[in-house]
Amino acid sequence: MSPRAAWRLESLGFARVFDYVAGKSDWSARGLPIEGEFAQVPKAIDAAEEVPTCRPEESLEVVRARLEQAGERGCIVVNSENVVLGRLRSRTFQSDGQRRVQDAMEEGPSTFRPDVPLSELLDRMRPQKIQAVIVTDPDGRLMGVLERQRAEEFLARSTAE
Amino acid sequence: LCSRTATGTNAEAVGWLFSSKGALEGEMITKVGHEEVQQLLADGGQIIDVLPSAEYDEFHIRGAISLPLKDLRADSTEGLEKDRPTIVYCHDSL
Repeated sequence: MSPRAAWRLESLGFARVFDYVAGKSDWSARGLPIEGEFAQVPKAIDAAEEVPTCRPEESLEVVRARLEQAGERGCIVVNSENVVLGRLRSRTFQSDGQRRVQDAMEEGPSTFRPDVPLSELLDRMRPQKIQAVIVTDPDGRLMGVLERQRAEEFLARSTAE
Repeated sequence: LCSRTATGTNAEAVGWLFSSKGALEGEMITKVGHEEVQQLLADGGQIIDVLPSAEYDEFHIRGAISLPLKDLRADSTEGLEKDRPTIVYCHDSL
């Protein structure tokens, strides 16, 4: 539809016409600003928080020391483009500290888009007792981590308002 | 899903293409991604949602103007500035 619209505008005398082919679903899935009814719905990105990251080539020992200093227990493994590759949980650090992150991480964790409604996400997290999920953009780049408890509280506050 | 709400026929689309001055001169519409859209908007571009109004109401890119494809005519675009960069979008590329 948008290519046809672009050509039609061009034929009507518009000098510089651009077609955003990926459209509003891509825009929303990146957590970029939207308006309308759906904009009022609490979404994953609204309650997501920053999370520590590490690189696959680092040693577990180095990462563990960094996390302890920051008071954190786990982290998300990302590459140089901030694309999520895996996850390190606290129990992972009980193994040999000389191992590299890439040899110890959980690969390919499930991720969710920032525009997933919180209520839908919680409906999936509760029965499976999932404590936290990773939020990424459509290119797989890390946007944050959503903890269930925080999401529940955020949704309750939003509903009350 | 752009085709879901398409109102024109293929024949119409072909007609627009070949009646278009730009098409006849070999010009192309520039396809852009979200980063270019943000830059174009920052540089004073205007953005048009060509989906039916119900889908625009559901949600749209902030600042977008609703102008459904079926209503895209010379008179309906009179309020727009033809010299400004103009971005169009629908739902997605499928």
